[in-house]
Amino acid sequence: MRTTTLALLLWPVLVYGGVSGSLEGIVTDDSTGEPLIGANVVVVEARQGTVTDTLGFFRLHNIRAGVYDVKASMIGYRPVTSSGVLVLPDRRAVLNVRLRSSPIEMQAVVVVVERPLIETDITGTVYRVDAAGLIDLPVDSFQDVIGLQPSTTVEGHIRGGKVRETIYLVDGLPVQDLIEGGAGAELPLSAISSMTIQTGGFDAEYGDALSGVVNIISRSGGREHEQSVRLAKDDLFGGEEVNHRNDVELTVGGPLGSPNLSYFWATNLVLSDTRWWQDAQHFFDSPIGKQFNGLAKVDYDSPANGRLTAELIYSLRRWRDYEFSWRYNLDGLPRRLRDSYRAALLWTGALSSHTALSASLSHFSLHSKIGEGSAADIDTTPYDYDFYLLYVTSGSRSWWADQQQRTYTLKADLTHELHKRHFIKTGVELKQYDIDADLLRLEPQTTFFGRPLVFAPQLNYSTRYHYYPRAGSAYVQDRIESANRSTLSFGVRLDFLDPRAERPAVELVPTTPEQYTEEVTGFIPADVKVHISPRLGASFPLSERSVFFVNFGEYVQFPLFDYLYSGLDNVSLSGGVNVLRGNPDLLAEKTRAFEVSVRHELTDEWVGSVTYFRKETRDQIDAKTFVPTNSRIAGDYGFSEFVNNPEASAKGYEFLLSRPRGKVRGNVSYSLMRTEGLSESEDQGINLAQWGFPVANTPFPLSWDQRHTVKADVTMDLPGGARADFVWQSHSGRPYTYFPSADGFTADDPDRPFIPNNRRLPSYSLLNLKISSPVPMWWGVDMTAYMDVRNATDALNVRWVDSSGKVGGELEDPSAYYPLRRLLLGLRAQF
Amino acid sequence: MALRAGFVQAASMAAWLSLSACAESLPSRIVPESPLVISDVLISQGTGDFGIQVTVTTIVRNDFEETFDGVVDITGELHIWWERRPDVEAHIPLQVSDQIRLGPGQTYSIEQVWLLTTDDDRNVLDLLLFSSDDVRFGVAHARPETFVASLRMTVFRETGLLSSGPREFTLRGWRLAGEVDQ
Repeated sequence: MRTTTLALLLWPVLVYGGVSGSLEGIVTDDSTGEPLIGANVVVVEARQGTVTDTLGFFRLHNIRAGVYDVKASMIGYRPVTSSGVLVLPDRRAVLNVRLRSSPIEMQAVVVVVERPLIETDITGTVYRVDAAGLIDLPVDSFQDVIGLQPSTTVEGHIRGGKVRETIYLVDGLPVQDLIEGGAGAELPLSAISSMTIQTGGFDAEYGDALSGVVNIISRSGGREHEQSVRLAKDDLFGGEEVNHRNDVELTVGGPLGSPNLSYFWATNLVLSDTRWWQDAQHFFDSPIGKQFNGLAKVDYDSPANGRLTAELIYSLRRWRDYEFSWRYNLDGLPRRLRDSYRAALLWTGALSSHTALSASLSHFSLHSKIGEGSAADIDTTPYDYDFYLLYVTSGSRSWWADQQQRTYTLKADLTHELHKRHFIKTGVELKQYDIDADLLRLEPQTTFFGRPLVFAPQLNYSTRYHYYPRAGSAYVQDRIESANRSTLSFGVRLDFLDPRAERPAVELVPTTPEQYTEEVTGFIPADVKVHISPRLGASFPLSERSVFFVNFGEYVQFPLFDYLYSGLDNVSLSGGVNVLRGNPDLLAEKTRAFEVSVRHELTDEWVGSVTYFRKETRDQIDAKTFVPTNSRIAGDYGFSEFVNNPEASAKGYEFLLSRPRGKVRGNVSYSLMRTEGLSESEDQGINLAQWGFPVANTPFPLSWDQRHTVKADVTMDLPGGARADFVWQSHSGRPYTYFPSADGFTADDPDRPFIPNNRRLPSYSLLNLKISSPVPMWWGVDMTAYMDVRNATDALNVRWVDSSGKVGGELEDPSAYYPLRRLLLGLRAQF
Repeated sequence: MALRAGFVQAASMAAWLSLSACAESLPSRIVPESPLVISDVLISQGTGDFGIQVTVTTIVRNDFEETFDGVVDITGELHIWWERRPDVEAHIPLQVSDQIRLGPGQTYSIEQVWLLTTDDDRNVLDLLLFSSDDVRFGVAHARPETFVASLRMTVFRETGLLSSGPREFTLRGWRLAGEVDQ
């Protein structure tokens, strides 16, 4: 059998809801170079096929993103199977095949397709991890993968943005937590076929994100039945620096009676006693944390070149909070629950040879609960500290919440090929929300230095609201390619949000010189917010081995619903003062971003790239105090409301060196980045007012400002089929505010100006590695053992210090350090 | 053979890593104890210039092996509530500035008076149940009710939180028979 290597050219464009791509190419006679008419081309695993036209050209739309074998055959020719053909979401893959004439029927030639080192048509920064890569990586969840990319932090800040500025899509549909932000669901890693992390230059299709788009393509059942089981434990060898984590993952898939019907189910159960098990064991039974996640789907491949998918995602979690100052009274902290489900029906299909349609309908539900029973069961009596005001020794945290958010989404995308190299895509998305939140929360006041003010009235964050906001978007994206591999992409996107709420018109009527009463004189309906954001991108080759791209875009993200609605209906409690009020008229936060990049093939194996980015975010959300601090209705801290006010900026360079293939492969990156802003949290304004500090009016480095970051992810093929993956990252210290106090109540130097984030933590370095090896078996099961080592060098990395510069503060809280070395051993069996 | 070699490599590395792992643990678990303790809370009902009053006397003892000595600002709060109607409650602030010298085992007492007025300016006597059946010598007696008192205070500014925990007491209201609705 002869194995040939062909170059696979990748082209962008045809976007199918971020889930599918297309494949096209020309089939020619190997000896004459003439195009072959009527040759069969079949994407084997996708069960999609076509025949070539009079020019030998073929095109297949709506191929689910993945790696495929593509078989080309014709009577009188020896068939060729091109193995490893990569179809990316939103992209067009090109595969040219040469068939050699053969008078007799012969076995197909297997051709291993090598992916190009540089994708010439890219107009933005995208990182991609496929299923095989995820298995190799020392990570627990898909969110951990974000922190491995250049210009990101381990907590998930992308290019200087806040964590919640990233949107998470699973099969093109969002799974966002609309009250707290971030991903609202977790998935077993074995459910993921591929994952793209887009950090710059989002197309108009993507909205509601300022910093990143994480797009996960789930796996589907294949033509063969498959089952696999994975087991892992982190305490097989004992030790104290363990979580007593037990992880079980099950994957099944295959045909379902008919060749057009397939199923897939992946689920995992994670039981853990957490990093704090030594304290927690005095209060709770094991396991303390439980997670049960999964994805189940059924695919129907229509003979009319379409696919219908019914999909269910579930993500259930139970856990207890831990705070070091509560270590002697852990059962005073509330129980936590967070359950999410998403049911979706997705259709992708070709309307004609030039037009494709994808449509989906989904229902996402997220229920989170804090505490047990009802709000009436919660004791609002302040909890007690020990004599030295260090540890909470009795009482319970007055915190109870029952929040239910439901999102109904209808989405449709239409892609049309105007000419052979000119594509237009348009889409619309409508969302109906049902946001029901009931929160009881009283917090003691503290000094800036963290000391409790035990006799000051508690701060009352309690709220209760139930709203039915609506949102939606529409976009048009136009993409033109030229024969010289240049690409021009431009689009425009319209987003709207109708909060469907009324804002109380509040008058503060003075009753005595230092006291006010609050009078609600009416209600003002909140406006519908509409934003139009342009997107531009272009790429063109500088040489045969170099590509340049540039993009500019404006991105918007509507506020979390809590910032809109919380506190509009304050819940009155004795002993508390209402402190913060939502604002249904908040505008979307907006980011303008610009990016240029050059990629160059250094050798046949190595690629280097340099990227410069710049982002400016405005209309960020913060709390602002509106009335004098002696106002009686608002306690000591005034009447505060969420407003659009602060701004932030980030800029930086990314240097990336990649070796995509070979026995030793991977990436090394260096990022030089600066992140500044006026606010780093939405309650910064009220906190500063509470502590008597001035509101920041000059930008300061934000807490996640990592100036210098080096990352390396290297995979090595070892003898005997073993494999090792090393993930190393190191960054310079992040800023913190040095404002020392000896007694925890007053600053050491009262004349010292308060400047946020004026010092830096020590630098950080972490090496994780995962080594896997096939295990010799005797009963025909493919079994792999693996060892996942976190912080292999046992490095003591500082997470936080207090304002006096002491790691872990006065209590020497161990959470001030990142975890030390942990060893997870696992076994993966495939049947 | 090569397959086994790879497996042996990985297993050896696992063993090495686990043996060389640092056995880090949380800091020692020593439940904090207070050097000053509230040794007793005495609650008594009596009559003062303003009528019925409840006097709460808190006795603080030095359990420490050394002497406390200095001028301290004692601040705190006495919280009293009706057991079966927790909405009927009163917070009585405590503010004492005093020179304290407490040798080991010595005590210091603080006295607070509650005049039966609630936080929302109600008089508890108006809420008690009076019965015309229980009138003796021109005085009507209310049904005895259980109240709860809890005291929290700081003896020093930065430290010194003392908490008594809830203490139940019985309040028996009385009024002149003519003041009670028949």
